[in-house]
Amino acid sequence: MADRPGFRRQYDAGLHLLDRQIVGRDGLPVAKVDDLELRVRADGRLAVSALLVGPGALGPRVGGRLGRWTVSIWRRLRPDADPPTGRVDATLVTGTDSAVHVTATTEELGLDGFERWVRRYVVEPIPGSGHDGS
Amino acid sequence: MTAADREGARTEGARRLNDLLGAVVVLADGRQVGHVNDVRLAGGPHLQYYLVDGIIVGRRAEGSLLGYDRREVHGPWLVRVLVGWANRGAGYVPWRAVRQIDWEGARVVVDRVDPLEDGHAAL
Repeated sequence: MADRPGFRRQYDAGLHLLDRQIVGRDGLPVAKVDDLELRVRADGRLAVSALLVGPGALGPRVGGRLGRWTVSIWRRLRPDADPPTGRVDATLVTGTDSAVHVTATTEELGLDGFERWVRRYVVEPIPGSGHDGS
Repeated sequence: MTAADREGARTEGARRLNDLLGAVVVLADGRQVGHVNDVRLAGGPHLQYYLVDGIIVGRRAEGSLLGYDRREVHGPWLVRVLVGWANRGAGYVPWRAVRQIDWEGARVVVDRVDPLEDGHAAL
């Protein structure tokens, strides 16, 4: 039986965590790590508090006109006026290897990962985009 | 805590890694020494207990060192040499040498920049 993924002694956040695939408890992909949330502790130290996912996290990282466009379109397509950025609490992470493993599933997390977002709002509205079993 | 405590992203004192990456790094006397190329985390045993241990400083604002500055990343020697040349002068600032982070101004004031040693990237 393969070893369960654990944690490294150190992480270079950009190299080892950003853009990694998040994998749910069911083994299915959840989203990519688009940014990290760092909590400023009372003593001034910065602690990892969450993985941030989806256009609300990726857009600012891309920056420029494309990044602003990404965030703007995402906000317009969301029902709430000020949608929160997708967030996976750090306490849910069980380990890392080439991916980041979490205890929850995509449905439990209720995330709007960029790929799911593109599929739902860009690809699926295109006529003929669905699977045709016949 | 819910599985996706998304509102927490707006909590006071929460910052984004991306706001730090690319930030200008200056010494206390104002001399610019580079940009934040990556952020090193250490601690554990679980992710929520990892703290920023220091920052990796590169000469360029964009484009990572592709890991070639760190020991565990091996690759074609020519790529390693070229990337190493393009990013010569990379350094490491331990957290205790970080004097101030201006998040809005994307600027980090540090006391010193140490050489980026291979040993920094121990597994």
